[in-house]
Order: sequence, then C-alpha cells, then structure tokens
Amino acid sequence: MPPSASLLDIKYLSVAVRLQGRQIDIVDRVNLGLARDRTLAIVGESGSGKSMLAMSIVRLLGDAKRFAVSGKIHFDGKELLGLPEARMREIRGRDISVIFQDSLNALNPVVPIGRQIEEAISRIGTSSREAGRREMLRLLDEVKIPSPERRALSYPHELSGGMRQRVMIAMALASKPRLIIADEPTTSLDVTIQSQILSLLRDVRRENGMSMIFISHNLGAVAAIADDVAVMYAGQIVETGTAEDILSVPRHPYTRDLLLATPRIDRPGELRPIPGVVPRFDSMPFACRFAPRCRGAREVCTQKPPAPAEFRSSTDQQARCFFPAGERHVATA
Amino acid sequence: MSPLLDVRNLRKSFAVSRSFLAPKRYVRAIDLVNLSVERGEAVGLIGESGCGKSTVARCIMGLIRADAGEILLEGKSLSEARRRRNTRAHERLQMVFQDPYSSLNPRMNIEAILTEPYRIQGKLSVREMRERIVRLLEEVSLPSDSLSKYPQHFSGGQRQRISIARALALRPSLIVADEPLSALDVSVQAQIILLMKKLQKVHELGFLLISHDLGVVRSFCTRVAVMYLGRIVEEGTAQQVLDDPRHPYTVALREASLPPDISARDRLNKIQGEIPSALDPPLGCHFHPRCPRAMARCKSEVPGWSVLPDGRRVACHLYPQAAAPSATQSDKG
Repeated sequence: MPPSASLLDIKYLSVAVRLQGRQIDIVDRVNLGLARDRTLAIVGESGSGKSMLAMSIVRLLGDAKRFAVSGKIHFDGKELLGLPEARMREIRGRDISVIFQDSLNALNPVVPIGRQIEEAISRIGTSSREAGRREMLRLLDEVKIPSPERRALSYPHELSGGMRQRVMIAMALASKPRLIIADEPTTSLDVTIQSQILSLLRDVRRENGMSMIFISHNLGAVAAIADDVAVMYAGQIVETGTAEDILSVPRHPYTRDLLLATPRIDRPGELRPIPGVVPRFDSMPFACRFAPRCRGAREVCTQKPPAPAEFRSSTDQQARCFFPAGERHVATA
Repeated sequence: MSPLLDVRNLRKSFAVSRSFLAPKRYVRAIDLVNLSVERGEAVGLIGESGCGKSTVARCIMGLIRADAGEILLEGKSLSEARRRRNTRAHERLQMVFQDPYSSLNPRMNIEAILTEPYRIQGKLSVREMRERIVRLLEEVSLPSDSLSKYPQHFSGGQRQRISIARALALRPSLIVADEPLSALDVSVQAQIILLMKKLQKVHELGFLLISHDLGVVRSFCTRVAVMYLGRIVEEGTAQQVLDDPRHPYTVALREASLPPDISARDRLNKIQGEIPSALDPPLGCHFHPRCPRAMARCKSEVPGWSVLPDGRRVACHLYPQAAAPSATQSDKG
C-alpha cells in the first residue's frame, strides 16, 4: 500500500523496563503499519508484550521513569515519540481513544455515566451544554444503550459489564478520534455479550471511518473483527498479514501451533498443545525466541535471530522464521 | 449400579437485603438441578456467569449447604456423611479451582502442599508419603526437583499441575474442576486438557468440569449439561448438545463461541439482551425475553423436559413433552 494510506507507522519500537539497575527489553524492535479505515489485531499470550506495545503508542505505560521507549511512532503526519507531554495529552483526548478491559476501574465511580460522556465531549471543543447533552444522548443511542435519558443518570456500578463497556465505547467515540486502541475489551465478558460488543465495535469503527488496534489473546474474537493481524511472541512480532491469511495459512510455527492448541467445538479431536512455557523476559533465548518450543527447530534457529520472510503467494504476509511454511519470495527482506 | 455422582433435585437460594430494615429477598441460584456423572466419565456443566454452575460445584463439595435435594457419591449421601463427620467420603471427592495463584498456599513448599492430604488422613509413614508424592509429580509431569520449591517459582500451568496432583493424592473417584483453564494461556490450556484426559483414563476418574468455554468442554467431556439462571435447559452427549444444539439458549451459546477462522465474522450479535437478574427472574421459561423463538406460553409456563429421539433432554416448549405426566423438570430424565 502507498505510504499516504497509512495512519500509523511504527518503526523499530522497543520498550525496556528498568528493574533493579538492569534494563530488560519487553518489546523488541517492532515494525508495524496500520492503514486508514482498518482494524489491526495484535494477538499474543500473556507476557507477549502486546499491551505494552499498544500503551507505548499513547504513552500510557505508567511511571515514565521506569520505561525506556525508543524507535519511531509516526501517527497521522506527526512523530509521537518526541512530543512534549502536553501535546501528547491533546492527542490522547482527541485523535486516539483507548478502551480498557476493566471498565469498572476506567470509569469514575461517583459520577453518573452521562456526565462522564459529556465531559469527554467538552474536552474537544466549546459546544454549549445543551449541545453537549444532545451529543451524549446520541452517543448512548449509537452504542445501543436502551432508554438513554434514564441510563445517563446511572452510576457505573449500577450497570452490567456489557453496558459499562458500551459506555466506554461511547466515551471513546466522543472526541471523534481517528484511532481507537481497544485492549482486551471483551475479555471479562460472557460469550453472548462479547459477541454483541465485538459487533458494536466493528460497526462504530466502520461508520465513523476510524482505524482500530484490537489487542487480544482470543483468536476467535480476532477472527471476527480484524482485517489485519500481528502475532506477538515474547516481545517480538513473529508474523503479520491479513486476518484471512494468518488464520487459514499461518506461516510461522508459533501461529500454526497456537491455532492447533486452541480448543475448538468443530475439531474436538485435534487438540495439540505447545510444549514448554513462554520464556521469561530476563532469560530470553538469544536467537529465535520460539526455538526452544518449536517442533521444527534446527541448529541455525539457536544460533542467530531470523529475519522476516515474505511469501510468493501473499505479499502482505511476513513471518520471522528460517523455515516458514510455504514458498518464500525469492528476494527476502 | 448407581452412578458415581448423583445430584437430585438440588436447590439453593441466597438471602440478599438491600438495607438493614428492608425485608430479605432471595436469589434462587439453583432451581431444581439434576445431574449425574458415571465412573470414569467427564461431564461438562456450561453456562454464562451467574447461571449457578459454580454454586452447583460448591454444593457438591460441601463448601455451602444446599437448601434441598440430595447429593450421592458412589450411592452414599454426602450430606449424611458430613453430618457424621465421616471424612472418608471426602477422600473420594476432590476439587481443582480456577485460580492457580490463590488456591496454593504461598508459604508452603510443594512437598508440604502435596503431603498435607496424607498428614490429615494420618495413615502413611513419612517414607510412604515421600514415595507417593514423588509418584504424583511424575503423574502430572513436573520435574522431581520441584518438591523444595514454592508456588511462586512455577508458571500458571505448572501451578495447575500442582493443584491436580494435590487433588489426586488420596485417589479420588471424582474431581470437580471449576474453570481450571480460564486463567491459563491458550498454549498451556491444551497441555492441561490432555493431562486431565490421561488421568481420567488411567485412574477411571470421573470429572465434573465447570466451564464457560464450549471448545474446552467439547475437547474434554463426553456429556454436557447447559445451565441458564439456575436451571438446566439441555443435557445430552457433548456431540449432541454442542454440535447440534436444540435449546435456543444452547444455539445462542454455540453461535457466540467464535472459531479462530473468518467464519467468526458472520456469527456476531446473533443474541440480544443480557442475562436477567436472578433476583427477579422472568416468569415461565427464564430465557424467553432473549429467545428469538419465544411463544406466548413461554412467558407463563415453565417448560418441562422433552426427551428427543436421540436421547437428549431439552427443557423447551418447542419440543413435544414426553407423554408420561411425571416427566416434569422435577423428575430425573
């Protein structure tokens, strides 16, 4: 795709945490692009660094002194990494919205949800109170909260988890952002509610022409909502491509094994676990980080880190592996 | 021969009061549940949060006392045994909890955790205990140098192996596992499923698996019961219930369980509404406000059991009820 179509361009992004005088890399030289009007899912297990990666984009890592972020984050014509905090706060309030997993902690417990949404609306402009209220009710309606007038007066604890997540989405939409980052937004919800929220996220993203980064460990949720997928393992992106390619013709052994390890209703007999455990950040394998658990690992896999390979059949798909499945493009990157 | 576990007409309500002076109201957590597990059989109890499935597990384990009904293990009443403080009955019945972080005492090393059941039982010498726990570690595939370590040295999956080893110590005939996989990463879940399968076979061990994950249940269980707001609504073999669900609620659950391929995209948002409060459950069939096929009588009449030609039971007015007048929900199907 031409570079102008890209909303977000991440180059060599690393996040390190300072622990007891040591610096430990959590996210390791990530390259990632997100086009306009698309959903990119970042998939990985716990400890893969997927949330760190996403939160480093909006500088919401917590105590800034503990984290060292390096690389380039190009968003909508601006370089985010060098921006002063005040500018960054503007971008978070206007251009990029974040939806968290835990809606109960993310909302103010003593303010009715309608007021909280109105506050989010007022942050982007100088509309009158009346206009702000109208917009708030419109947003509650857009996220399909029944009887918005009455619900606007509710406090967060009076709402179910699904309803609270709808409120979070309404707040995220309030500033008409160009990018929404949703960090495991449906993880604590029941499956029928998850299905409703995923559908809502997909619809509001499309209707508002935004892009979305969807962070999840749930391959089913990713399959339902993502256009593109980046698979993370132990702080690195190991495979990228369209959702269709990644899920139907995975190239990296980790992606393939993760799909085979996922219990499926329609394939009950085919369960195959991945041996071993995710390596700890303070003792990462030096070469390919998946090699100790990889069934296809050979000598070279423990000697040097692999570069991303591209494939003849799909120019968008890349896998960081010496021996990926499928025929490689002749000139590898 | 009597089944391994026989739960008959179980009821449990919890009192809730909004304020000190307000009259007490009751939440019917379990409204007449019948359930059985045969020797060496794995039965899945599925449903969304608040449906009462964990309350069933806790009643079976004696962690809470049921209001009415009977629980028989190997033909003997468990409440009777508990009244007489007969701990032998408990040795045959063990539990594995969801959270491998809070269910192991962090101040006890693995040796202490695994010998505790034997010390309480008080039958074995120190040497015999030592032999047993070394064998237990082998059975759950933990390294033999684990004994002197503490829970914090282990990953979530390894801790769940320790929990399983502890449950196995007294050679139970039934293990009740309440969401034992939901805190684990996907790559590790499959390891634990295969471990439980092996133990089930080797020891002819019965399992009652409480889970919200239909894929997990399909991979491990041969029989399944589906709960909604305190009642079982469908029961049959895993193949019948999960591959070809008949109760509209089971159909909705199946639809909302997203497979990791792009067919997931067509499955979103098929069910409306949320699970109602158990304080004020809908009359008639509890599911009727969300049911796409609800009829007039569903609003007033509690459906009895229908036995379908394939042998499964469904509590739904869509299916003709068994001719025998005794075939109501209060009887065993």
